[in-house]
Amino acid sequence: MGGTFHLLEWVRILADSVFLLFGVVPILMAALVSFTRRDAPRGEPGVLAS
Amino acid sequence: MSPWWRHATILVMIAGFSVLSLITVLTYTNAPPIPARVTDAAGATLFNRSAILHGQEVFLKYGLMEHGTLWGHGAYLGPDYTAEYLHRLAEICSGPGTPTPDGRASELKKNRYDPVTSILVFSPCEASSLEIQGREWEQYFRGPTPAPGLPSPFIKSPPEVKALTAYFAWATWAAVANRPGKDYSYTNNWPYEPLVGNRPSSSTYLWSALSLITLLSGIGAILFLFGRFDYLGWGGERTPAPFHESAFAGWQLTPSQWASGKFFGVVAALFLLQSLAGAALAHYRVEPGAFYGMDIVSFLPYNLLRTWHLQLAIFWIATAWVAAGLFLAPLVGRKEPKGQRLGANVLFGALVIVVLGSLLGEWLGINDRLGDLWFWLGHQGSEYLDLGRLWQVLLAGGLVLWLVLLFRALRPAIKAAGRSELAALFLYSAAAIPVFYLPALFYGPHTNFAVIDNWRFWIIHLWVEGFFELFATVLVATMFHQMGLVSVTTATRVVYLDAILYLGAGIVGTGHHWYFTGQGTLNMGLASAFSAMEVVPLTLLTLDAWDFVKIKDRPCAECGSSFAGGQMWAIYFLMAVGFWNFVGAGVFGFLINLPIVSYFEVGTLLTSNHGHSAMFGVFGMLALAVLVFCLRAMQTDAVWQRTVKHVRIGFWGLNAGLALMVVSDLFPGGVLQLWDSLSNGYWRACQ
Repeated sequence: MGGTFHLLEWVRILADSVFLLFGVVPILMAALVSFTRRDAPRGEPGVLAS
Repeated sequence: MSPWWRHATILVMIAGFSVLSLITVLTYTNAPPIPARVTDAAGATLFNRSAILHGQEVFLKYGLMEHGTLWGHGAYLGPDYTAEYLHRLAEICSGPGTPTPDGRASELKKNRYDPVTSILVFSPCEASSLEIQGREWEQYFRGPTPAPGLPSPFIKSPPEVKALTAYFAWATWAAVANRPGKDYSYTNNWPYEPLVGNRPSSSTYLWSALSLITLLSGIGAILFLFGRFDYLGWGGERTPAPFHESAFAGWQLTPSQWASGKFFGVVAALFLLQSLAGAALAHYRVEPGAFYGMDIVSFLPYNLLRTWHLQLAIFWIATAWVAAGLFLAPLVGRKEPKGQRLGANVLFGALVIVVLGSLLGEWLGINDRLGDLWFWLGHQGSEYLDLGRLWQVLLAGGLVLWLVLLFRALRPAIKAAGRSELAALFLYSAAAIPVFYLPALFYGPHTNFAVIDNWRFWIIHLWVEGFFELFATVLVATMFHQMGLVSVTTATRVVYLDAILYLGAGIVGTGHHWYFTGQGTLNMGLASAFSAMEVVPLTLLTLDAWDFVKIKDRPCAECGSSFAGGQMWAIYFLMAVGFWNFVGAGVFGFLINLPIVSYFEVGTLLTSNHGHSAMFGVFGMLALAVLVFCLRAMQTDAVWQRTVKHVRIGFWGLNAGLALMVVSDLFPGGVLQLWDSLSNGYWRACQ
């Protein structure tokens, strides 16, 4: 395999970049921000919910 | 709800596993024999059984299945070792004084294995090919010009390369020599190599055509049923009044739910690492020896990165599901068992140990630094199940602990009237995940490769096309019910319906991975027919998509607020699950599912195209859906407003990036490889 096949692999860099920079990184940030800012009401072990 | 839903599911599983077990038993008898000795025509020993088994050890220990493929299964940078050996064999047998093309084919296809003496006799050109290729593989793995994506020397000792060559020679013999009394080889004439007369067998054509009948019949039948019984699916019965019974109303997060938060931080971090490894792997295909000019081959060779890429995918997706189970179970059970937080924290520690230990072990194993412990602590060598046996046992133990924690939390719901069935299904579908990991323990490094691949797909296929789909449906059903979007009856019925459809086709459909790995034609017939029907439930996802849209926007008649409430982005991710399940698993999966297509394309980018769009598109998106769902539930509305912008960007970025991967490279690249395979032989498509 050569020529066009390898060209497609180079083109894929755009796809990988979009996936990483605009997909994975924001999700990572969302997860970390969400994790550090958890503020929902907390209960105690064994307590029945309403 | 009728008990026949439950009875039908059980019957489907009993029937499916009966057939699959029969095929597996036959694998042991149909596998290509490993001879005690391989001799030349004069009777001199060329190599023996020990050399073949040692060669398999070398193949597994150095993670070569994560570099190239064997019998079409493995990674995408290196060659298919069988096809490459076979092509060179054909070239060597084409030299001066060698048989004519027809004579060459009949010479190589003649089976000279004697089952009584367990001696295999190589023809003169097979014997000389062994000698010549021994030198060539020595150059490939240890020569001055490194193999693509591997450092040089990669394999440490010449005797190991010699044993590996013997292994390739045996695997290639199985691919070309006819089964006794048959006109096709042990691998059903795979790979395609016109120089030696390796062409698709009659069964490959026949079952490809006949499997289309089951596909069309299945789709017709399911559309009829959905038309006749309009309460099937997420829409459920036409309930006259809404039932805004969200479990979140007044709910306070329990300690174990709070503790599950850190799992999601790990999920996101592992997802980033996995994606970075994937991007580097893609780049290896255009720059096999460097990464934008940097030498990373010596410390991050392709096979190690590929291993980590797959292992991290399994780890982050599984971690998300484990955490989702821990989060949802107390919500379903409506009570936090004592000590549940401690259990969650112990599980988290075990997870960290398995992840770090197995990744480190794989690095040490590939670099041959573990001695005889490579199989237990290092790289076990089977694609997707690469982690050493000790890490596998620990992983299975961790999943059992998770199951215990789920049981404790779900027990009140299982005992409660009206909610018991869905809660029990939650537990059973979760239990199936560790149970169907057990086949990973059923083989060792000296097991016949046909048998290894059999058990390997008992896990991989039954997970991703059976019990993962089932657990995914249960998670979605539970989340929807907890949000008040669907009634418990609708949720339970959808789970049973999916179980019947996915498992009915998926269990026997496992065999579509074994068309060309040493199985007989019985498997090809059954697997092609059943796996064509795997598309049927995926087609229903187009209906599910509309159900999701409708129930997402449904307002409560009492309070006027949306049922979906603040969980809109979790539902968007679930819609992405449906979209990619249909495209990745349904369309792209079916494309490569027919035996005749699989014959020419297995191991090309068309497989990768299916893998990315189905594996990430479905299970990855589901993992992110539960991540968003759980993290949202841990925040108040005010705080969530500050973080939702990241989720929004991430959602569209992931979907756009995955679509671009498919459109710009994986699909067209795979089609080019398929064309090359058809035009020049399979070996060349893997160059």
